[in-house]
This record gives sequence, structure tokens and C-alpha cells, in this order.
Amino acid sequence: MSIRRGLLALLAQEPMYGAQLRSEFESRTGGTWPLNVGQVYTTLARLERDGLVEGAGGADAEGRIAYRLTGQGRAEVQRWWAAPVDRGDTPRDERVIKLALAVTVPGVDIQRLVQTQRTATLRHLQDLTKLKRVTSDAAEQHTPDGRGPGQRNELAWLLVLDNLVYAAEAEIRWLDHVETRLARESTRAPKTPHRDTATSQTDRSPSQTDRSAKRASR
Amino acid sequence: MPRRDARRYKWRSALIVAMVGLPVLLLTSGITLLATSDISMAESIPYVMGSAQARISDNGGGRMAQSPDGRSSRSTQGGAPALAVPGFAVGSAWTTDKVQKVTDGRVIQTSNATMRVTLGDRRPFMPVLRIDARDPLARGMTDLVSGRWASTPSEIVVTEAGITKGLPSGGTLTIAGPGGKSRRLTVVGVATGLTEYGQLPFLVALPALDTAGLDQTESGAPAFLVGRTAPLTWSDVRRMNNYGLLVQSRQVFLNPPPVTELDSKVAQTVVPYQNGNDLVLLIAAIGLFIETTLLAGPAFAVSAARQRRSLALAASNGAEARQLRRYVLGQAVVLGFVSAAVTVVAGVLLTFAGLTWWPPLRDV
Amino acid sequence: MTTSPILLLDNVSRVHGHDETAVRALDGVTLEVHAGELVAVMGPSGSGKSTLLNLAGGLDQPTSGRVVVEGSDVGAMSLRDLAALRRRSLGFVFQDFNLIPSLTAAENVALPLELDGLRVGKALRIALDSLEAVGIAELADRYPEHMSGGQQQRVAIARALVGNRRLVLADEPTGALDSQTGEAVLRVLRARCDAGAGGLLVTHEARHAAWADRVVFLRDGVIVDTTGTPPSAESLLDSAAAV
Repeated sequence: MSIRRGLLALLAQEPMYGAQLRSEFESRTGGTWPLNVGQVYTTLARLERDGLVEGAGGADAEGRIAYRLTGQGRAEVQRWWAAPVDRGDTPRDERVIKLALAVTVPGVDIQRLVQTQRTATLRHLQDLTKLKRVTSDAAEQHTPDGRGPGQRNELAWLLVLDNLVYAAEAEIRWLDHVETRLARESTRAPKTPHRDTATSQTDRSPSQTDRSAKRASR
Repeated sequence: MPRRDARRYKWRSALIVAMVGLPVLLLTSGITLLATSDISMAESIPYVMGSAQARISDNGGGRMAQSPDGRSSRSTQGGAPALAVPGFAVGSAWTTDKVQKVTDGRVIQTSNATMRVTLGDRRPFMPVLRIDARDPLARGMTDLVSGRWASTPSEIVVTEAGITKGLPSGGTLTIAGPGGKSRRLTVVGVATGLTEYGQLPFLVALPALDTAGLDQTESGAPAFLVGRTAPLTWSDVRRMNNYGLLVQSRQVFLNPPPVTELDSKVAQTVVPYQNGNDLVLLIAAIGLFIETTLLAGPAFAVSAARQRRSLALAASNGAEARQLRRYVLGQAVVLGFVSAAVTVVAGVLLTFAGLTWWPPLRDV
Repeated sequence: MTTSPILLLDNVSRVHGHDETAVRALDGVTLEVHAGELVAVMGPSGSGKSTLLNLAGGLDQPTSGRVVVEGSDVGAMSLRDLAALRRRSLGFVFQDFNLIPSLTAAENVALPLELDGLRVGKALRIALDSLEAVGIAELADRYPEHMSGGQQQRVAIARALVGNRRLVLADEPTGALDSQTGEAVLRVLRARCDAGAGGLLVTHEARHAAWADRVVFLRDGVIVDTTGTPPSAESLLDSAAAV
């Protein structure tokens, strides 16, 4: 699922052919998610089938075909940036990958993206807390003084919940950190350590400077 | 809340109490001292004249005018000679009989003297109140504590003040004269006593005390106590002034005439004295104020700074400005009152204690 | 919700300073806190959290917009009315230094009532009820210096909701506490809100904000997002299954 979206996000930047897509993907996610070329081409084929990408002209001298986004594909990418990563059915790394891509791809409101993710995570945290309340209240009601097996189970469940709580909290902290880090980067010169992303950085920087200027002028 | 605060921070409060209190303590002590040393005329009656209507003394000259308390006087009418007393030679010494002729009533003699007393190998001078203390007119001036009054010239009574100076409360006492001359007197009682100016006599003896040959015993000028039913009025006093007599009258002491009725020159000696006193008080009060500001001001400031948090908290719980003011002020008032009350009482008590246990203070 | 909120911030802005040096601490913030609801405000420092709380408590006045507490417009109030509002309608819980050190726990809780003119005895009785509600009635006669941080915060919550006060404004109430104690304090706050109070909680800790019914994210004086939807059972089951 997320390879599909990741490729779409990369193509939003510029048309690319398969091998190029693969190396970009790996370099931008720091190699945490290795792909093989076969995977890339199968995914591209499906995307083409679904009308999200199309070939950009014919094959070049080496027989490689560059792909670009269709209007529908562009819309799909926008949707993905705007939506939080669902906790339920994806590996956790997707949130990290998405952010790493977002930083390098132009035209993404990364602040918005971070906030959307944070809201979703906090909502999840709220749910966990509510569960914790219900569970500990129940524990007190069932066995006010004894240490029955029921209470044991509830304690175990509470510890599991705590684990989830701390994981969610850590994620929010990480998001906070990403946000402050990005804010600091944006106030520096539009220089960037990424080799291919000079354009995207310069794209974003003015808009952020605009914002702070607007803030100050108010 | 101020009271609770003061209770809770006892040491901080104690510091403020001390800082406010010390100057107040000093001032009250001072005032007490002034008040007791400057005994008012009415208060001085027992010391001056016992239970008599008046104390009369020879001014040693012609016609004169005096102040109501008899402490200042001057010759009048260009030093015209005094009126003669019928039946007595002009210029003859005043005796009980001669005084009686002028004043009517019963007249007894008294004087303040000093004598050298042998105490081991010391021979200090000691003040003696000489009066026939058996006479009811002497009551108030000296009162018996134990034993009896002297009834013969070879008997003597010691006072409590005398005992603190080492005089025996019984047995015999040796009065020393020059060249090893001495006379033994029997101590027959213990008494209290104050002399005319509020000093403590150490001994009380009959005017006729046998001091023949002891020329170091000095006798003060004799004075006379007059006992009669009718009081001596201010006009009586002025009449007697014409005989050259200085009169300290119970009636006049209790109701002094207005300054306008005094001889103008005498009045001048009375009035500035009082103004001077006021000035001293004023300077003392200003000094106290400055001292209190210097000491108590910072104490309150420190405590107010430490309360800022409490005050802010009270404000966030809806205390109005006037409640906060009342709180700060309340604390100052509580501590101020406590400190003032404690130190005023302490100052007065300390001074009285000092006067009792350390007689030189009385000369202040 | 159809009931009128205990606290309503209606398009509230607060600008410090003038012209070029003007700083917009809050910019068009709209927020409601209803009875029985705990709302958390999260945001980095400088995002306007404290300004929001000060405005809600009548410690500060908005430059524009309305602040309404239990139906009364705070902006239209005199200083005296504001003081009365702080005595009768709402209470603060700060990160630290919440209690007056010279007063016992009960006296601290009774303070707003006494300031409001209630007799001492009656105020102390009501204070005891409030201490009971946060579970520390037995500490009524202790002085703050003889209480733990968590106990002090409970006293502060008791005071914030003593008598007829229904709105508690908490500014990082767990900031000075360890995580276990902090959670216990939030549990108390949560329980008091469940019992009918309204709470506005400012914090930068997600784990604590999660105790709220709603979390509002503040950035540069603007509300950028809210967790406004009720929790879905699936997401919980999923995350539980994932472990």
C-alpha cells in the first residue's frame, strides 16, 4: 500500500523511470525500506492500470520509459498528504517514511501533515486513556481488597495499555521534534544537504518565511 | 488571615515586634523616667509636707514672692524688710512658736541633714530626715515598717534605703565625728522615707538628736510643718511671704493659681522650664519616629516581599484590592499593636524596676 | 451540545503592544467548555496557552471578541465583578506555589468563600466537603509544607471547585510532579469533571492532555486542530491486538 503511495509521491516531483524511482525511494528513506526493481515495475503497472500514472513519451535510448502522474494520480497524492496514517492496518514505519518523503517532495504542507498525524495520534492516546480509566475503575470495583485472578488480568491489561500510551506519547514527541526541527531549518538559508531537493526546499522556504512575516506584521 | 500569618511565622513576626518595639521601649522608659523624676506638685505633697497643711521655711530675708511650688522665689519691694511678728524680736530666728504666731495651728520642726556613719572601716555621709516621726503630721513623709519611732535623742530609725546601703536594722549605730569622736545610737525601728526633693533618707531621727561635739554633722535649714483644719490658700501664702516665709501649701499644690497671678519675674522662671521639657519630648518623638522607620520599615518590607506570592494567590481567588490592602495593613496593625502594647508595658515596668533596684536612677 | 457552556471564548484575540511591535498572542480563538467536560489545550511555548487561560479567568482582557463565563460577559465586567467572578465561578490550579503557606489545607480551600464573606465555620465545612471530593479530607489540618506536591495539587483542585465554583483553569498542573503523581492528579481532575465541573487544562504533555475529552492544538495564537470526535472502539481494539 505505502510503496504505491510513496512512488506516487515521488512522481509528483518529476517524471521518472523505474530504476530511478527505486534509488530515489531508498535514498530518501535512508534505506530503511529496500525495494527490488520488480516490485517497482509491478507497482507502476498497477498504478497505470488504475489510471494514476501514465508513460511520459516513448522509451529512451536504453529502452527505459519515464512515468508521470495523471490528474487523478495527483489528486490521490494530495489526499495521502492530507490524511493521517491509519494506525490499525499499516506497519508503524509508514509514518516515518511518509514524513521523510514529505520533507523532500515539493508542494507538501508539512506542518499540516505533522499536525494531522499528531491529532490522530492524540486521539488514539485519548482512547487509550479512556480504556485505562474504565479498566482501573473496574479493577477497583470488582475486587476492592483481594488480589483475585480478575484483578491480575486487569493489571496485565493496564500494563499493556501503558505500553501503548507511552508509544503514542513518544510518537507525538517525535512529531513535536520534527516540527521544531523543520522550523529551525526553514529559518536558515535555503541550503540543503539533500542533493536532489534543492528546488523543493526553495519552494517551501519562501512560503514559510511569508508566514512568519505575516505573523510579525499582524 | 493576618493573625494566622503572624502565628505561623513566629520568628519573622518576633523580628518585626522587636524592631518596632525597641524604640518604643526606649521612649516609654524615657517618658516614665521623666514622669517620675518630674513629680507633679500634687504627687509630691507627702514628701514635702507629710500630712500637714503646709511646709514653711525661712527664706532668710525680707519680703518676697514665690512660685506655687515654692521652688523659686525672689525679693520684692526692693528688698523691704519682712513684717515683724508680734512678741518676737525683729530678725530673730524662726522657731515653732514664732511660726505658730503667723500660721496658727500646730507646728513641728523638720530638716534634712547629713551625718557620717561608721560602717566597718568606712565612714560615709548619709542623709538623715530629722523629724519627730511620732507626730501624725509626719505620716506620708516617713512611715514605720517595723520596730518603733525614736523617742529619745539617742535613738534612731533606719530606712529601707539605708539598709541597702549597709546600715543595721537593729542594735547600735556609731555616728562618727572628727578626731575619732563618736556617739553610739540605738536603732529602734525600720521605716520608709522620702525627703523633700524625692531623695531617700537613710536615717530618720528626732530634730533633737544628740550630735553635740560632732561638728561634721550638718544640719539643713529647719522647716516647719503646720497642722490645722483650715487650708492655707494662695492669699495666705502671699501674706506669709511678707514675713519672709516660703510656704508650700497643700491647698496650693492641689489647685495652683494661674500664671497670671504670679509675680511676673517668678512666672518667667516657671514657664520656660516647661517649654524646654516639651522641646525635649518633641525631639525624642522625632527621633523615635525616624528610628522606627529605619528599623520597622525594612522589617515590614521584607515580610511584604515574602507575602507577594500569598497575595497573588489570594487575588487569583478573587480577593479584591481592598481585601488585600486590609490584609497587609492588618498584619502591620496586629504586629504593631502587639509590639507597642508589649513594649509600653515592658518599658514602664523596667523603669520602675530600675528605680526600685538602682536608686541613682532617681536623680535623673 | 445544546446546553450553554460554562466557558465560551468567542472569536477572541489578544494583542500585546501597538503597531510594529504588536504581538498577536491569540488570534480569533473560539472555544467552549461545557459542564462535565475537560478540555486540554496543547501547544509549544509561546503559542498563547497562558494568554488563553488568563483571558478565561478574567486576569486579562481580550483585545477583541467575547469571553463568557456562566453566561456573563467577562469583558463587560468591572474590576470588582471580576474579583467576584474569581471568588464564585472559577478557580486556578498552577504548576507550582498553589497554596498560601500560612494557611492549612482546609483554610486554603475555604479562602475564596471567606473572601466572599462567608462565616469562617461555614466556609470550613464546605471546604471539607470539597477536600473529601478529591479524596484527602484527612489532610485538612496540614500546612502546605507538610504535604507532597500531588497532595498540594489536589488541595488546589478542591479549592478551584469549592462551593459553587464550576470551572477549573489548570496551567500545567502536573509540571512539577513525577509521572505517577501527575497521572493521579489528572485522575482527580477528570473525576471532578465527570462529577459536573468544567475544566480547561493547559499542558504540553500529550499523555496528560489525553485525559481530556477534547484536545485543542494552539499554534501562534491560532487553533490549528482539535480532537473533537468520540473515540472509536475499533481503533482501540486494533492497537490492542497489535501488541
